[in-house]
Amino acid sequence: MDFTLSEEQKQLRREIIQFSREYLNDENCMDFFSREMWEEISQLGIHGVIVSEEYGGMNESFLTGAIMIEALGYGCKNNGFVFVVNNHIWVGLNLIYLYGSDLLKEKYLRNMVEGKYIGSIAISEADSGSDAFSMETTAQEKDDCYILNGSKMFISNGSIADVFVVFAKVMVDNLAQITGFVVEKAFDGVKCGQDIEKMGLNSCPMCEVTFNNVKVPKENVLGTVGGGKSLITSALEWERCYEFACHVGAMQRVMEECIRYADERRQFGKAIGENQAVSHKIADMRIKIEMSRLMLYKIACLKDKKRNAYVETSIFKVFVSESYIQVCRDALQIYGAYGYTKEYGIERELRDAIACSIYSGTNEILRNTIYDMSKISVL
Amino acid sequence: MKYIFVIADPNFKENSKACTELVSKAYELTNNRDAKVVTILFGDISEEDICEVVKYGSHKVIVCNCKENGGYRYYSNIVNVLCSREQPELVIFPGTIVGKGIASTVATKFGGGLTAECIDIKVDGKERYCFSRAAMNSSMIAQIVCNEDCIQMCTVKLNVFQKTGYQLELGEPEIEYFDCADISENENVLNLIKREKVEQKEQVDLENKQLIFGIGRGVSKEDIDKIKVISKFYNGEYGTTRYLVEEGIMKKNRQVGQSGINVCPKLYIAFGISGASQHMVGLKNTGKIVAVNSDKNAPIFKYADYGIIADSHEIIDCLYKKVIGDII
Amino acid sequence: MINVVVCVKVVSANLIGRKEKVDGIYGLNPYDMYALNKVIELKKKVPCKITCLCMGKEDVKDVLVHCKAMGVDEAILLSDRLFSGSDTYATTYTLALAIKKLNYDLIVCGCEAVDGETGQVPYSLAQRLELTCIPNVEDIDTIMDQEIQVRYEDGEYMNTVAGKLPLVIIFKNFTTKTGKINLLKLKRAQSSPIIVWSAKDIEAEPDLLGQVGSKTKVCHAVNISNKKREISYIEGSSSEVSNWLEKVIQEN
Repeated sequence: MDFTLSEEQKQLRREIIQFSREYLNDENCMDFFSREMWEEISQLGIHGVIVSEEYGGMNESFLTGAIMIEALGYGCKNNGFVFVVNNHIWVGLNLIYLYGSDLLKEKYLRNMVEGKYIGSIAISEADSGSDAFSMETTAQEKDDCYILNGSKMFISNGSIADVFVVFAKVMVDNLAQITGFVVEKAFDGVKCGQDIEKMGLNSCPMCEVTFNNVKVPKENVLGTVGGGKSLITSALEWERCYEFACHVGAMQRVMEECIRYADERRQFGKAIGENQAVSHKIADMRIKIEMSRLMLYKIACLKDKKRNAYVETSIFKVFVSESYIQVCRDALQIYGAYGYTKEYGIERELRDAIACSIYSGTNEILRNTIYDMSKISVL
Repeated sequence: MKYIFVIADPNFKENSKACTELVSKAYELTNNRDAKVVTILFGDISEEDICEVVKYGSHKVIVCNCKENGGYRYYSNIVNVLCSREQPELVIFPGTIVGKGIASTVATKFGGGLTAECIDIKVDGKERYCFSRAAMNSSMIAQIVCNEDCIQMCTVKLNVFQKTGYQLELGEPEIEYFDCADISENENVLNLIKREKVEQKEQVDLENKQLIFGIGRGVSKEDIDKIKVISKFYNGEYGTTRYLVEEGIMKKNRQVGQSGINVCPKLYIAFGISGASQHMVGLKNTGKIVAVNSDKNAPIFKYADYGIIADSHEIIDCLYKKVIGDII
Repeated sequence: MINVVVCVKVVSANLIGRKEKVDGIYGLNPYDMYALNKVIELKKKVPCKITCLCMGKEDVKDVLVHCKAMGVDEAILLSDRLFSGSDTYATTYTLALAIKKLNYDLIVCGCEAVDGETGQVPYSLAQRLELTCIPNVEDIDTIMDQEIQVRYEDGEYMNTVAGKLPLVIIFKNFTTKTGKINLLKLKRAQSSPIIVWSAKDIEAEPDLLGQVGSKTKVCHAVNISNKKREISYIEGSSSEVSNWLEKVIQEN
């Protein structure tokens, strides 16, 4: 296995990092979603990273895509904005690209690749988070459409999204079958609540989205009726891989800042980095980053070979989320009192990081999954 | 007999000082050598103008009765004819926009060696001219010589040579009136549609000020206004770094350093400037540098005489209060 | 379709405040980057084909790929051992020969390069091609029916002029930003080779190239970057410090 990047991959990485640093790191836009920044990144064209050229995409392999997304997480300090972009790509347009009919792709894909429509996924409800499949949103078949009723909670990109991938229960032969639908915000009856104030990731708006007798045309069924569960599983796999690819980049960024700080900050006549209590923390950061990266490349290669990466993505997500939080926590400690102030941005990194042990499946649930999958392969 | 040509900018009225500075330098170069200075003037030139030029060392003056605003190619054609005729060993052009255009065009046509933006001209032992100019972001001074077989030419950076200030007794100057009737204009003459005075062109004289305040990234907008007041009070000026110009917070005519202005005040007080080399290059001839920065590892402390590790805001605030107190 | 040729120079990354390790050894001369951005902006209003022309070593290709990712249609690298050591005279001889092989309506240049800093190439090039050159251009207003209207500055005035193409224009500003790219264009640029022309390809006479064809040469160069100074730190409260500052100001 050769882990060296090709010249093209190196250049893609470099260009994305340069672009992010110059155009996506506006200090004034750290706490809200900036339309201007969205326009910039849409011009950059990263949304279409794995989409075919037919729909305006770059048709990259999953491995190159992972390298590029990691570069975005490294170059762009605005973690909330990166979160918006990832939601839009991996659980928004990607689902339509991989599982949508040609009709659906014609309707929505190009505009999403060009950033004209922003995508969002709506699975969770107020009463069904980890227990996603106990959702209560319903879709009743009527004439040539489905009538959607219910409300989804903690929907990232909610208030800025144009297109939702919504999951609801359809009664088929008296059995409730989870089905995915593509729902436009413009449809009658779709309503977004107020943006929820959160601990971090402030550039990513999050809200409740309610569906009140929304007429969804039958052609907007994503995949097949009753195929929702596997769609959700698949969506989470993508999210766990690529959202967390960004976090690998973010960890690298935070580690580099710690190295610089540990070199500059002097106490007792020497740089604090000369104390093992500090340098070892940084060494641990490096260990976590390298291990994460290896797992990322492995998962991306599996996906390129069209193989299942269910347990790998679960392991990756647990490992990266806990590493990322620890890296930011250690960074805060290294920066000391300065780290605690708003000015240095370290406290923001920690506040942004903490959510990652919750979204994309809580680490507790994922540990269950890993255990179950390990049991199967051993027993 | 060798000739040194000094070409005046076609807009003599606005550039007479530059012209006389070049004439002075040219005269210096004829010292103890068998060479004469010939100054070429364009357009409507008065007796007084000619006297000015002669006073500083021009042995001969050629006045070209040419069109006004003929465009640099037109003037190049005139200079070409005169150079062909006299075969000067050196032609000096002013570093104005038109001057550079004429110089480059003439040099290319003649295959002459052209050194641009000179800051010094010397004659070396072998009777060849040696030109000094800055390069590499103004971090180097290069000495340039021309090949043996070509006319030597140069454009001179503005404000680099001083007039010698003494009157010369050169006897009766030789004056020639050159008729430009036969000089061709090139086919593509530009059509002037509109000419507007640029509104907020602030005349800033950073190059000649003795006291300059430097405003860097670490200074807030309110504090910039305070520094404006402070600098005015002490009869100084304020300059800035590339970052603030690129962000549109300050104008380019105040940018010190790379591709901005080079300053040489007696005292430069830098607030919130990190000290990147591109900026510092503009300060290399400064007397004393005082740096105020809250980051004790900022590179500027390597180049400063006095360092103050503190929040710029606080210091600016104190100075401002003093100044206001004194005004009131 | 207007054919625009932008002459660009690639310079060392540390001359433009970049870190080699992160951004690569080379970057585009900031003045040329500004000019290139302006031409790419123009393309949104007026259909044009943008060709970038660059004289340099083979290893500057990455920078030209970047230019194509920004929206340049074609990039040509003039690369030959014989070109090295060129002064302005030899450089413009080379560039002019290359340009004559292309269709051109408008030639655009930045006003100087941060390493050479002479600012002579555009005029000299214009002379070789027998074209007029408009310096200090602020913006291109329109291009219609082979006529271009630009605004340029001279001293205190902003002049709006119109001229017939072909013409050479020089933009006066610079930018140190890296230029906005599109990833799909980058990918396409990576897979389509940069056109490389040697001295033979442009039918150049070796005697007129490089050091041999130059009219000037550098005989000596001295580094004059900042002298190191001995620093003394002033300590104290803000008011004490500002008192000291006031004294220093008044002393000088």
